[in-house]
Amino acid sequence: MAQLLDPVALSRLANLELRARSVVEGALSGMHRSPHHGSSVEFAEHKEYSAGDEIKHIDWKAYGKFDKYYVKQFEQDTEMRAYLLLDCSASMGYQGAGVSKLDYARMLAASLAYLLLKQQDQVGMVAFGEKLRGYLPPRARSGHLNDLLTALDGVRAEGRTDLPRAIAYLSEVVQKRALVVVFSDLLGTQNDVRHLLRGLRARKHDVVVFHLLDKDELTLPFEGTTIFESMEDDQKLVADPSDVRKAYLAEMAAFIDGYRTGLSEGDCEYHLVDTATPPADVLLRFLTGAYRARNRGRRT
Amino acid sequence: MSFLAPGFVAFSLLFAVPIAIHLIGRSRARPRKFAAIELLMRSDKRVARRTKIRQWLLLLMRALAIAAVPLVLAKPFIEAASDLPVAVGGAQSAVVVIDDSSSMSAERRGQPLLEAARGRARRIVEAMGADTDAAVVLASRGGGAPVPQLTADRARVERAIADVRPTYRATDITGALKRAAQILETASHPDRRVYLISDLAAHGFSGEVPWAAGRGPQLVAIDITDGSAVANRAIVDLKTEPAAHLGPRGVRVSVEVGNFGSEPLKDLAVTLRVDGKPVAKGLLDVPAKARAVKRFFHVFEHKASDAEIGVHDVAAELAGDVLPADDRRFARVEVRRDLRVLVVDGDPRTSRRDDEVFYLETALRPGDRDDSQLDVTTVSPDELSARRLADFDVVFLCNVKTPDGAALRDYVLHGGGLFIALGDNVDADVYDDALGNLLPQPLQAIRTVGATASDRDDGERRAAGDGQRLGRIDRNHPMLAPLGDAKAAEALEAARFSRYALFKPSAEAERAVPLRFADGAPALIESRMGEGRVLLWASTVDRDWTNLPIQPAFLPLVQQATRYLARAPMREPEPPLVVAQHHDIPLREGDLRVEVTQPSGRSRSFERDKVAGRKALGFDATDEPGIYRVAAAGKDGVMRPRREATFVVNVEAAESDPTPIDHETLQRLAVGGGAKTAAAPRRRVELWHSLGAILLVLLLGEALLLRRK
Repeated sequence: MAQLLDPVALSRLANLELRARSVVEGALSGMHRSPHHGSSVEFAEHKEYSAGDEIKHIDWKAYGKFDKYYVKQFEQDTEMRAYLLLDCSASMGYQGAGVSKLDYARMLAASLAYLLLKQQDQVGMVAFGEKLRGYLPPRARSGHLNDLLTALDGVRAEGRTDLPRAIAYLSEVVQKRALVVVFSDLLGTQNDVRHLLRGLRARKHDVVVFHLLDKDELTLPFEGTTIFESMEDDQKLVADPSDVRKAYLAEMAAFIDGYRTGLSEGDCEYHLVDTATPPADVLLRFLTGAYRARNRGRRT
Repeated sequence: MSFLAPGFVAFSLLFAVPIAIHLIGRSRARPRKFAAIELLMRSDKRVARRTKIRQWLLLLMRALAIAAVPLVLAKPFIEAASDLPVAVGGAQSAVVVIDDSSSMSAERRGQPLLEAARGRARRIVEAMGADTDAAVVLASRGGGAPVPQLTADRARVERAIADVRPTYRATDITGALKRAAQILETASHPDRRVYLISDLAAHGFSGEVPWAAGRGPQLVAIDITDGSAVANRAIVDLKTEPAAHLGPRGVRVSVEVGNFGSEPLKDLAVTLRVDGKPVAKGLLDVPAKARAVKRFFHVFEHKASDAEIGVHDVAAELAGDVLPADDRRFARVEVRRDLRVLVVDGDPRTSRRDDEVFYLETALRPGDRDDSQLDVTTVSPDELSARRLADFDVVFLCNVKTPDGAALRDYVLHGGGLFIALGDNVDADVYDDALGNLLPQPLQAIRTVGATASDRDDGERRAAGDGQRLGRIDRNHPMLAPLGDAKAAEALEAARFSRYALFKPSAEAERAVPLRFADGAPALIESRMGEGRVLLWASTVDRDWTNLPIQPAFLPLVQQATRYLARAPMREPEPPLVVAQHHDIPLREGDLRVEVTQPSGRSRSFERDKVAGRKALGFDATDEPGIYRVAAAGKDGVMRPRREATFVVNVEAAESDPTPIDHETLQRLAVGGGAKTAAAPRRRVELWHSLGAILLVLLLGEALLLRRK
């Protein structure tokens, strides 16, 4: 199982649904809960029976103790809409020793969709590059997962990034409160992205950002004089990585820290994801993270 | 620059390899797609300049390091003007002559010349071939030879060189070269060399050729000053003379300052010290390469402690320069108490010229000068009893009819000096009875050999002619030593004696006859009794029996006799000694132990057979300039200062002159002995050690640069 949770091992599974299910099961087992024995409703408190309450919710053990009818109160079910924003720019196609960032994002998005749909939530998807590449409105029907997985399978890493445009589009189409999950390397984006995401949050949407970076991008492990070529334009740089490593790592740390701080200050949830990390771990981190805490009254 | 293994030099072209690798590596850089290129570019911008410099440095270091390896293997060297002779290598018999004289204490570039000479000598010995024997000789006067025979023990030679210490001695290069030549006579190698390491000042060469023509060793003269003479200034002479116009205690001190530099000296301060205290200071202008004299006048105070003579130290000094040893010069001044002389006039006359003691008084107070240092009192025999003889140093008894033998004997026994002159009033028997053993020899009769004054007055002439003359003069007698030269002797022999006393034979041991008549009869007899001395003059001190009083020799004879009887020095003080000069310290009877304190405060004691029963103590440890003080102890063992024996040692004035010997003279001295000088020596400076060090530094630098990435 552990081997299956490795991103490279998962990528070998041809079926995205299977991959998503493996990830979700892995994540939930990390939470010591099984999706097969769990309930979609959770006990909250007892309440004295009154006319109109469901008889099946009467707690007979409590009646035996107190000689009064008590009805079990459960957490209230809420219909939730989730939008998965998937960055499909060329930079997401970078693949170091493991899987490409886009593949990883696909896997993570599929897992999340699987989990949400399983909870009867509505899941939509926006794939974007420089332009909008695809949009699936949120649905909760059983066949929607297949649509999502098909759409995810269909995206290719190419072109530049324009996350602000995607956010702007989303702002137009999302009317009710929703969960907005961004999968991007955030490379080539401007600082105003943070403002836009914080703007979404201000409009009561829950915003979660999965900042996907490859191990190579985090450590610059290369040796020898290298011609670095941009993946989104024609920029080139000849450099000896050992010469610039220290300065690059500082730049990278500042880049990450800028997003982490900026988004946290805007009450957005930020997850830095090294694509060498098992997706289940990332999902688990998300499930036990701030979003979960904030929505304790909800079923996710 | 030359190379011992030039074949390796070609490999230094390999320095191009790292450059080629750099260029090739750059062209073969692998392209790599990278998503975070924007961050990378920002990073590169930040470090580009630093990186570029480091890369160029690295490239340069690598190129140089690669070039250095074959260069080190090629063993490069250059030939430079050398402080070592080219011919120093190879098997040889060599004598290293190191000049340790006073002038080698001069500082050049903050280092004494001798230290540089030691270093040079050590390097010469190190550079000598393996099968070499060597000796070491010092070039100061009396400096000796630390390694007096040729030895293959290199360590011993190096130790001896390291132990050479600066001295205040004068230079004697000729002597040292002679000794070196003697040592090399036993040389086992045909190649015989003398390495002379010196400032080569002209004063060190006597002008004599040190070895026989055609048989001398090769002389390699090494000028430790590299031809630049030291700009020295020095006190080259210090004279003290009586200054009569200031009284008997006034002295004139003349300080002669030499300027051996090429710049004139203006307002040079000269300080005069007496007994260690500065008493006067004067300014002096000394032209370049010239001398000037500064004169001081000083009056010494009379101290109660100056029982007989006051001995004072005088020193003149300049502000220190490159050679401090010659910036001070010392002198010793004796200031005497006036000698008190009592003249007993046995035949006083109203006419002064006819008076018995007229000539004597005149001789004791020549010109009645203040500086005669003799205080003369004349009395008649009747007045003698009223006088306390102990108040006088010397008593002249002149033609006294009946002397008081008891008083005079007591006086002599306690150290008095008695001069007995005869005359017509003297009766031999009466004198023998009255004076007894006080007389050095009993009187027998008066002999007349010519016309006496009374005869001349009567107009009579005796057949015997002009009279007797003096015959033998004992020039070894301390009293007559100053009269020892031919001119003085001639003046004494010009005197004629018409009448003189003859003496009975005597077996007295303590008796000496400094003067005799031509017939062998004693003219002046000396004896000692107790602490005192007696001189018996066989004639008169006026012109009654002799014409000596009107001869030029009379005055010095009377003065010397007076001083001798008073135990005053018989001659002028000896001139100051120079360093390493032998000195005889006069001893007194009964001295058992003598201690000499050197200027540095170090004391040397002498006793037993070096002192007891001797008249003088030979002292050779005059190895530093300054005042040497003497103390002596007798039977009681109490050490008492002997001020009159204090002596002064100065550095040789010639040592102050750094003028180097000219090359021609040096060549003549050496070539005269059939040898040659190693002119304009050159040395090989091997560079590969330095290159090796540079290579190491380059490699270390490269490693550090790589590490700092």
